[in-house]
Amino acid sequence: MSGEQVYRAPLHRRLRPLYFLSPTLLILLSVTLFPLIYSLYLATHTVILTNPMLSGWSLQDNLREVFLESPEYWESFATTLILVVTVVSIEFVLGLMLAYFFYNNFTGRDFIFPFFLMPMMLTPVVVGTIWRFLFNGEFGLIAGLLKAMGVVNYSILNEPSTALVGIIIADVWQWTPFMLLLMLAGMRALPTSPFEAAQVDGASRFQIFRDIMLPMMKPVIVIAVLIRMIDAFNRTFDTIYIMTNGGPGRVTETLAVMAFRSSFEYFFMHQGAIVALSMLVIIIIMTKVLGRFMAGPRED
Amino acid sequence: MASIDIRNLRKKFGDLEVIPGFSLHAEDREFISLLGPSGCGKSTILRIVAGLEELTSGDVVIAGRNVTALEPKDRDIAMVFQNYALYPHKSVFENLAYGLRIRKRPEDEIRKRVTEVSELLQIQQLLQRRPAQLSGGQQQRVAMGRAIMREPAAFLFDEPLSNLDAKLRNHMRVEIRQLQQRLGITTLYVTHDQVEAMTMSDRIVVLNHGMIEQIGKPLEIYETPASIFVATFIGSPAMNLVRVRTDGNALVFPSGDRLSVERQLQGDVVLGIRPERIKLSASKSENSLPFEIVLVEELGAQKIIHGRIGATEMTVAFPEDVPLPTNGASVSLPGNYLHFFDPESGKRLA
Ligand SMILES: Nc1ncnc2c1ncn2[C@@H]1O[C@H](COP(=O)(O)OP(=O)(O)O)[C@@H](O)[C@H]1O
Ligand SMILES: [Mg+2]
Repeated sequence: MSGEQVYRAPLHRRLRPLYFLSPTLLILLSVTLFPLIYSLYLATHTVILTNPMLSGWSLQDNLREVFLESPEYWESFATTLILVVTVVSIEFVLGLMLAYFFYNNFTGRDFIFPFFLMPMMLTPVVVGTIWRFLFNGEFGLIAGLLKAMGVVNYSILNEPSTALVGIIIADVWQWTPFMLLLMLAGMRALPTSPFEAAQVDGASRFQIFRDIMLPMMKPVIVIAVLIRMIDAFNRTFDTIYIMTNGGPGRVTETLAVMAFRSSFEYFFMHQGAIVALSMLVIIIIMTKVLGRFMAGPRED
Repeated sequence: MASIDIRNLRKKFGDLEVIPGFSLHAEDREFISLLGPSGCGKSTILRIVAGLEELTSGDVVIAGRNVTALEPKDRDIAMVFQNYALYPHKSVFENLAYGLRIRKRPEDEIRKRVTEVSELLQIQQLLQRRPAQLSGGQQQRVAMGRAIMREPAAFLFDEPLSNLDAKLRNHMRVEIRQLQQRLGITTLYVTHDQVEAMTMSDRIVVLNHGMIEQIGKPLEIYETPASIFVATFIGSPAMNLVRVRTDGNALVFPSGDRLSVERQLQGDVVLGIRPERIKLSASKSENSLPFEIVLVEELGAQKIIHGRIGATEMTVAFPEDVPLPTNGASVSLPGNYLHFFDPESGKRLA
C-alpha cells in the first residue's frame, strides 16, 4: 500500500463499534471504574456514616489513623499473610501430590476424580456454613470426635488459639481441588518422552518427579500459585465472615474482613476504603513480582 | 559379551495383538535394524527391550541376564528417541551428566566423561546451551551423547534420524555407524527407511504386522527377498512385480509376450525384477520384450524410466551416460536376476 492512498474510514464509522459496545462498557465501567474512583474519594475524605457532619479532605489523617495510630491494620496484615502463605503452601503440596496420583492410571480413577473437585464447586458461603457446623462445640462432628477423645465442648472456632486453624482447614478443603485441577492439566500437557529418557538414564520414579517433571511444570506452578495467592488474599472473605466474622476478638480478621467491618460495622468508610486500596496495591505488586519470576531466571 | 536375546515376545494392547510372536538374537557388537512400515510394531518391540512397555509374554535377555522383570534403569541400556527427548530445562552438560549424577559419581569423573563424550560428538561448544537453543542436528548429537555417557551394554535407537533433513540424515547415518563400530556396542535400530537399514546394518529384520518377514544381511535381503513384501520394501525404485502364467519353460505376460526361463514353474507366479537389473536397448534380441517408454525421470546419476510391456507397467533404471533409444525400445530380463513369488502367500518360490 502506498503511503498517500491509505483509506481511512470517516470518524463516525470508526466510532461505530464503540456504539455497539456501549451497553457492556457502561455496565463494566459502573461496576469497576466507578467503585474504584469512589473508594479513592472515600479514602481521601472523612466519611463516617454515623457522623455525617464530619467531612472534607483528610488523606494524611486517614493514613495516620489506619497505619500508625492503632496496631489493628498490621495485626490484620499479619493474619492475612499467615493465612495466605499457609493455605497456598498446603494447597500447593496437596494439589501437586493429588495431581501426580491422578496422573497415573489406575482403575476407578475417572470415577473418583469428580468427587475430589466437588468442594471447589460449592459457594464459599455454603462451605463456611458447613464448616461452622462441623466445628460447632455442641453438636458439630469434629467436636464430637474431640469429645470421644475426652475434650468436652471444644469449639475450634471459638478459641483464639485455634480459630485461624479452622479457617485454614476450610480453605484448604475448598481450594485444594483447584490446585489439583491446574497441576493435573499442567502434568498432562507435558511430553512423556523426557520421563522415559530419564527412566532409561536410571532415575527412580521419585527422581523423575523431582528432577524432570517438577522443573518442566515450573510455569504452571507459578501461575497456579499466583492465582491462588491473589485469590486467597482478597477472596477469603465470605468463608471467614460466615465462620467467625473475624473473631474471636480479631484473630481471624484478615484485611478483607477488616475492610468490611470498618465500613459496614463501624461505618468508618474512609478506613475501609484505605484498607481495601492497600490490598489492591499489594495485589498489583504480587502480580508484578510473580510475573517477573514467571519469565524465569536462568539456572546455571 | 552383550548379546541381546528376544524370545517368543508377544504383545497385546487390550484385544489388539501387535506382536504375535517375535524372536531375535543379536550378537555382541552387532548392529541390527528393525525395518518395517509405520505401525508394524517396531517401536513397541524396542520399548519392550528397553523396559518402557510391558510384554504380554516372552523373555528379554541382555548380556546373558534375563531382564524381563527389571525396570529400564536396571537393564544397562541406552535409548535414543525419535524426538530426542532431551530434558528441556537442563543445559546440554546436565543432560549428558544426569545419568551419572543419579549414580552419584564424583563431580570430576562426571566432568571428565562429559568432556570426552562432547569431544567425540563435537558438541563441546554447546555444553552451556539448553535444548531449545539447539538445531535439530545438534539435539540429535546431544541425545546420542547422553546415550553413550554410561557405556551401556546396548543401544536402542527409535527412528533417530527421521526428524532431520535429508542431507543431515545421510551424514548422521555414517556417523552413527562409525560411532557404533568404534564403541562396539550392540545396537537395535528401528527405522522405516530402507536406505538407513541397508547402509548401516550388519543384519536387517524386516517386519510386517509385528511378524518377521525376513532376517538377513542387507545384500541377502536385497538379492533374495523372502516375500513380495520384502521385495517391494527394499530397494529404490521398487522392484517390478508382474503376475505371469507359466507354460513349460516360458513365462507368459498378460500381453501375450513370452519369456523363456531356465526354471520349471507351475501355474501362475509373480515375477519380480529390480529396475536396475533390466537391460534396455534399441535392438530386439532373442528373449527380449518390446518396451514402450512413457515417462523419464532424470536423477543425474541415472534415469528412471517408466514404461510398459503391453499393458504391464515396468520401471527401468538406466545409466545416465548412455543415450536412450529413440524408437522401438526393448528390454531383456536377465535370468539370474529374476525372482519368483507365490501369488497367494507372497512367499519366495525356492
Ligand atoms: N499404547 C498403545 N496402546 C494401544 N495401541 C498401541 C499403543 N502403542 C502402539 N499401539 C499400536 O501398536 C501398533 C504398533 O505401534 P508401533 O510399535 O508404534 O509401530 P511403529 O513403531 O512400527 O510405527 C500400532 O498399530 C499402534 O497403533
Ligand atoms: Mg515407531
